[in-house]
Amino acid sequence: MRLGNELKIGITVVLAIVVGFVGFRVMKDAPIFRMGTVYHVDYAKVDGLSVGTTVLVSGIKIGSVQKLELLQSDSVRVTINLNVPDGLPKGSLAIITSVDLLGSKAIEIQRGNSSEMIPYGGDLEGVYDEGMFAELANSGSEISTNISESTVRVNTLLTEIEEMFREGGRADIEGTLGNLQRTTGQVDELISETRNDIAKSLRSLESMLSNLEELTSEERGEIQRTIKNLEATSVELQEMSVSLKDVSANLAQIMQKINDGEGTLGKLVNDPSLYDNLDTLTVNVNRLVQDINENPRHFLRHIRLVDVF
Amino acid sequence: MQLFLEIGKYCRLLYEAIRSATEFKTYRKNLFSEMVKTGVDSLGIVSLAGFFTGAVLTIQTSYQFTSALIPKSTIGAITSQSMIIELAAVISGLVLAGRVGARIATELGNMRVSEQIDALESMGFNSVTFLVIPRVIAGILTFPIIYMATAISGIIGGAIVGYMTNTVTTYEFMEGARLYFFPWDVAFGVIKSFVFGFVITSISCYKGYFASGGAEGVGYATTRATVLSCIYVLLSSFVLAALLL
Repeated sequence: MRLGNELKIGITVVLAIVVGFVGFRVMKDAPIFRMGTVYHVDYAKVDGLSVGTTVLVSGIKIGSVQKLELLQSDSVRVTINLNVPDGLPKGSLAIITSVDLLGSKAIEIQRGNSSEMIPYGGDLEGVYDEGMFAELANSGSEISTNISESTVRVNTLLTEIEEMFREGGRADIEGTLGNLQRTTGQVDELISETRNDIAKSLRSLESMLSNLEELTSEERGEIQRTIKNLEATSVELQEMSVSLKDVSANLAQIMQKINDGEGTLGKLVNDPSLYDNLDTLTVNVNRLVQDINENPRHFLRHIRLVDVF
Repeated sequence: MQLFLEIGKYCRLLYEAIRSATEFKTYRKNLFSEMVKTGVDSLGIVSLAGFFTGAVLTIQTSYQFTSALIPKSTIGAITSQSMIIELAAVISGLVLAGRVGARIATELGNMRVSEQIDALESMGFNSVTFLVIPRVIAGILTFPIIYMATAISGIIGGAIVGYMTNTVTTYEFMEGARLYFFPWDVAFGVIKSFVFGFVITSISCYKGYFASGGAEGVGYATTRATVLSCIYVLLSSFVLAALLL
């Protein structure tokens, strides 16, 4: 019986220790019989992070925060325990992100693409992502000042309008309305007075239009002929313009050739050698004439009058 | 006056127990049988109590949380954390105040009124060493195990009921439970269970040991033992929470 009791207690205690250990590991979300891989991440601040905060890769939980310690530089060293069998490549980022609107945080791991692996206990690069809500909260004061300013302005505007009403604005508006009424009344009167005139004008306009119609119906043949002539003329004009176009194209071709220096004209225009030759010729002729003028004897010596005549 | 007298007698009993705590040989046999009676045999009832406590907590929490802003996993967090911190220890304490406290007080009271304790004394046994110490030590040693069983069955019960009633999936439940799981909470629960084990067994021993007045007196002692155990379990829970949390 005594042995029975001791055996019972022994079994219970062993069971309790095993269940307690397993339960503790399960609750801490650590692998039950194997230690995970430990990494360190340094952050400037870790608002919303606590021991046990989940670590995600693409939204899947792969580990949790194990330890948070404040360094001397006031930055925070976070130790995370991950269950990644193939390790993390160098350059991986650990981003603190918001999980929901209430500000719960998680660490999101973004794998680097280096082929080297971070060793056990190595460092990951930490990034703190403020999240949409934090941004909104940060700009909240600005928005509220804007709103309060606007409200103040609207208020002053309203008081001004109210004052205007109180300081006789109402009477002014009533006067304006009265004036408007009178004006419309006058316009009404004017219209009723000039009704006959307007009717007369309309009638004369009508008769003028009918005259015009008559005229056109009488001269219809003439007008048609004129139109036909015009048509023929325009056809001719069109033909003429086509041939003109041809001519101008030809001209353009010729001009092109001249510009390019092709043919006689082209050479004449573009080649300065003829000009140069002419220039030297005239210079020479000038000199010759001068020479003749100065010493006519020199040229006339051999010319005998007798022989000439 | 009566109060101080009672406290004085209680302290004397404890003093004598502590003084003779080293005489292990005298009470070894009793210790193991008491541990079985107090601890092992109670595991079933406390697990049941824990299971239903967790289940009720889950259902009531999900009933109260109607806001869409609160994630479902909060239900798991609330169930598991309140089980670990408070309910597992207190529920098991209250259950055992009835189960163990009543048994101890009746046993000792009966021995007292049938003069078995006097017989032990006259045979040269130290009755405190022989009767009180094994019961108190058994209580202190087995209560942490009972606490653990209650807490675990409570969390399991909460998860199962959440799954069965379709209010929260097991994954969400455990996610929340893990998010708010702090080792210190467990340590606090274990400390509490040590204290409850001591409070229940020592008060019951005291009430039974000093019972008088025949069968009626035993009945009175048992009632007092159970009631006082419950009260002091709640009181010490409050004091510990105020001191340690």
